[in-house]
Amino acid sequence: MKMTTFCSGIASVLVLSAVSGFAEPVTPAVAKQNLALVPATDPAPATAPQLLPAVRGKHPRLLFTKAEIEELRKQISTDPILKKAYDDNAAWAKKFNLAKAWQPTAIFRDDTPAIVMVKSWPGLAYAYALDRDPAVKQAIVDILAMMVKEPYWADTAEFESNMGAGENMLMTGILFDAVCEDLDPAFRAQVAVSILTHARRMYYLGHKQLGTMKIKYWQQDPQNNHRWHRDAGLAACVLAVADEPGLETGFLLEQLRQEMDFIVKWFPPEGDCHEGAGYQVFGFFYLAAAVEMMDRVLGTAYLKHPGFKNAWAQQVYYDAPGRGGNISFGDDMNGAGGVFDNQEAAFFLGPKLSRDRNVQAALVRNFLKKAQFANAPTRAYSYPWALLAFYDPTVGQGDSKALPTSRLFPDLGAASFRDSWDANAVCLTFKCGPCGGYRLNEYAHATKDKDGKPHYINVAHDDPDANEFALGMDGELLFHPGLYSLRKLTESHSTLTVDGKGQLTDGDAFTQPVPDTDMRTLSYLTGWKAGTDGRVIVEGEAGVLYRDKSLTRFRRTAVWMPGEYVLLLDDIRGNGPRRITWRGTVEKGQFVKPEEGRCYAYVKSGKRVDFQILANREFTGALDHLFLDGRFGSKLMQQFQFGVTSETVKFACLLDPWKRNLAMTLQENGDTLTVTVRSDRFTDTWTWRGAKDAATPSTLTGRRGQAPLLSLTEADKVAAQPQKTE
Amino acid sequence: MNPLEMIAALRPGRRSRFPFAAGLLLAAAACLSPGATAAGFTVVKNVNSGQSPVEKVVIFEKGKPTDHLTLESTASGKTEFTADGALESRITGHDDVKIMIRWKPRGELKASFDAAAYTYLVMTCRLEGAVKETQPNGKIVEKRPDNLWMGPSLFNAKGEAVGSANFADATEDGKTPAQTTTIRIPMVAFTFWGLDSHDVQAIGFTWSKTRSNSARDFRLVIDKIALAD
Repeated sequence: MKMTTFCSGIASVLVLSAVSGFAEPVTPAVAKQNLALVPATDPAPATAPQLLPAVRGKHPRLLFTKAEIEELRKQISTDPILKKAYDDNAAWAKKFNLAKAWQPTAIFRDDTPAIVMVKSWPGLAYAYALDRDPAVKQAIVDILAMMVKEPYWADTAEFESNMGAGENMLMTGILFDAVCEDLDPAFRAQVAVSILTHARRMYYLGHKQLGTMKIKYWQQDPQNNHRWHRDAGLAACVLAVADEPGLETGFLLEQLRQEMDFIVKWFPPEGDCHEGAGYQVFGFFYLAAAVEMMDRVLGTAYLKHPGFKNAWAQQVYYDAPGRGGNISFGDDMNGAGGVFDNQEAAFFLGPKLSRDRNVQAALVRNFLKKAQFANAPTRAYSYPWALLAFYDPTVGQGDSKALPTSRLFPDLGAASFRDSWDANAVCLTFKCGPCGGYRLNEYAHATKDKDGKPHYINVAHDDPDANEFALGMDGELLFHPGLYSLRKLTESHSTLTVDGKGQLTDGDAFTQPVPDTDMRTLSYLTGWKAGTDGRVIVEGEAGVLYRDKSLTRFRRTAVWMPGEYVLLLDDIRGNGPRRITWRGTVEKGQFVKPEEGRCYAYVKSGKRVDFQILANREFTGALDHLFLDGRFGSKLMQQFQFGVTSETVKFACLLDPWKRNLAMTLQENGDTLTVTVRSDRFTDTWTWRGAKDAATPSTLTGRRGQAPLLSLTEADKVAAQPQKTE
Repeated sequence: MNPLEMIAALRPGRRSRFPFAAGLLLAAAACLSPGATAAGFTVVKNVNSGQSPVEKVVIFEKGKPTDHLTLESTASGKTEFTADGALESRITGHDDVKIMIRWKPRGELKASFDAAAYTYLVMTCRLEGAVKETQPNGKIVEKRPDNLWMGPSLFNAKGEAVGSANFADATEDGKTPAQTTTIRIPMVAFTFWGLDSHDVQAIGFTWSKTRSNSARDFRLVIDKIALAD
C-alpha cells in the first residue's frame, strides 16, 4: 500500500527549508548587507594558475572544443545512443523559447526550480555547437540577457550562494563558453562581467562563509553533494571568463584550484557516496563536470583520481534487478521507475577513463532499462544531453554480464551480491560501515577543529542501519532497504534494536555525527571471503554502536550461496540481560510453521521469499505494522520482529529466494554452533564459532557432505581503511 | 550551533517504543541444552492473521446520538451532521483546512485516549470530488489526488495535531475511497513521528494551504469513526 504522509511536523519543515534555502526573496537591507561583505577587489594571487596555451583565448573549451565537436558529429552519425541524444536535444533546443518558459525567474528564488529546469539548458550549448542554428543561438542569448538583467542569481536567504546559484552559474558558464565568440563584443563583455560578479559572490558569501545566513552544512566537508553543485558553478564561471579582457580573475582561479584540490583529495578512491546511490547521482554529475572543466582548461589531472573511474560501480551494483530504481541504503526512495537523466549520464565517465567495455555495456544496459521505464504512454522519454558530454562510443560495449556479480565497497563498509545480471536476478545488499564512510571520517580526524576535535562532517543522509541487509528479486524488494526518511530510526531497518532502542545516530531527520567519537570504531566490516561459484561470506560488527552501551557484540555474518540460499548468522552479546529484537522489514509477511521458525515475506505481485529463523534461546515472533516514512512518499509496511530477553543470543536465518525447499537445524555445543542446511540436492554443514574480539572475523567453516565449501577464518579480515589515493 | 543541530534541539522528545522496565522483568530466555536442536519461536503478534480488527471504542456512528460530539472547522472545511445522520465536510478553495470532532465521555469513550493503546483507527467514509488546477494556459484540469497531503489527524487538548495519517494509508489500492469504504489505518501511521499522542481529545482532518491556482472541491462523508485492536 502506497501512501504519502502529511507533512511530518515542525522538524522536517525546518530541515527542508534549511537545506533547500528559503523560497522568499531577501529584503533589500539583507541583500545590501551581504553585498557589503564581498570585497570590491580581490587580493593578489600567490600563484595564479595559468590557462593551458591550447585553450587560452579560445572558446568553446569547458566541456568541448571545436575539434571535439567535429569528432562528436562523426560519432553521432554512427552511434545510435549519441544519435538519439543528439536528435532529442536538437529537437528540444529548436523549440526552446525562454519567453514561453514557465516562470523562468523562479530559478533565482529557490533551489528546486534551478535544479529541475536549469540542468537541461546546457543542452543548448551542444545543440548550437553541433548545428550552429541561429535560433538556438538566440535562445542562448535570451538566457544570457536574462542572467545579466537579474541582479541576484539566488535571491534567497542563502543569498547568492545557495545550490540553485551553483546550478545557474554552471548553466551560464557553459552557455557563455559555447556562444561567446559569436556574441556582440559589448554584450560579451557585459555577460562576462556579470559572470565574474556572481562567481565572486559565490566564493566570498558561500565558500568563505561570509554570508549573513550562517548555514554551514555544505562547507564543512569535502564530500557534500551541495558543495559540488556550487563548485561546478564556480568552475564554469571562472574558467569561462578567466581570460576575458579587463577582468581580474587570478585570485579566483587560485582559490578555485585550491578548492578542487581539497575536494579531489578527499574523494573516495571507489568514487562512492555514503549517502546512497540516489544521492550519488545528485552529486557526482557536478563533481565530474567541475573536474572535466578544470583538467581541460587548467591542465590539472583530477580525472586520474581512481574515484572517477570507479564511481559507476555503486550505480550498477545498487541497481535493483528488474525495476527502474535502486536497492540502496541512505536517503534513497528506492522507487520502481526512476528516470535516467543528465545527472546519471555522468557515470559514463568511468568507462571513458578506464576503457572498460564491460562497464560501458553495464551502464548502457541500465540506461536502456530506465529509458524503458520512463517511457510513458503519453510522453516519450528523451535522451539527456549529458550523454553527449560523458558517453564515449569509442569504448565500445563488451559483455555487461561479464562483470563480477559481487562487489565489496570498502569505503562504505558495504557489499552487494546478485546471482546474475538478468532482470529476474536475486540481489542481496549488506552494510556495516561507519557513518559517512572511511574516507570522510579520515578527513574528520585528519582535520581537527579549533577545539582539537574531529572536524564536523555532514552525514545527514546516512541511516542508523549498521548490519542491515536487504533482498530484492525480479523487480521487487522483498526485504526493503528503506526510503528517504525524515525520521531515521534503526527500528525501520532489517537489523537489531536493543531494549527498544536503536543505534547511536538514531532518531534525527538528518543524521548528525556521533560527537567526540571515531565513528570508524563503531561499525565496520570484519570479514570478507570469496569462494568458487560466486559464493561469498561478509561480516560486520556493530555492538558498540548501540545506545547505553547495551551490547558488546553484534556480529552479523552473511553467507551468499547464489542459486542456493542466503544464511545470516548473528552473534549478539549484551551488558547484562537485554531485550533484543531481530527486525526484518517487508511489504507483507506471514508465519508458516512458527515451531520450526518458518515464515515468508511477499509482495502484492505474489512474489515471495521463504525463510527460516532459529536461535539458541527461546524467542518470540511478531509481525507488526511498520510505517516507512519517505520524503517523497511513505509506505505502510510490515515487519518481522523476533525477540528474546537474554544476555547473549545467536540467531540463524536462512533465506530461500531460489525456492530450494530448504530446511535448517541449529545445534549448540559449548561455544560452537552447527548450522545444517538441507535441500533435495545438498546437505551443508556450517560450524560457527564466535569471534575472539571485536575486530577479528568469526570462524565459520562450511562443508557440503565431506567436501570443503567455503570458510571464513580469523585471517580473512577486511582492510579497515580503503586504499590511499594517489 | 548549526541549523541541523538547531532542528534536532527543536525535535520533540520521543518515547521509547519498548517498555524497558517491563523488559528487564522478563525472565532470561531458556538456553539450548548441550547438543540440543533449536526450535522455532512463539507467535505473540500477527497483524496479517486475516482476523478483522475488533472495535473497542466508537466515537461516531451514523444514525446514533451525536449530542456528545462538538464539531469545529475552518471555512474551507465546513463540517456538519447531515439529515441522515452522517458527518459531512465540504472542502473548498485552497486555504488551510482544519476539522476537529471533540467529544464528551460516553460509555467506552473516555475524555481522552492514548493512541498507542489501540492498533487501528477505523473509518467508514468516502471522499467525493477533485482538485481543480488552473494551468498556465488557462486550462482547468481536474485531479483526483489519491495521496492527499491531508488526512485523519489526532489532536490534543490544545487542538494541536499530534499525528496525521492519510486516507490512502490503509486501502488495498493505495487510493482514497471514492465509494463508502471501511478503512483501518494502523495507529503507527499516526504515532511514528514521536509527537505526544497519549492524551488525544479530538479527531479530525488537516490539510495545508495549497497554491492559489489549485481549488479543492471535495465532499467527505463519514459514517463511522472507531478505535480498534
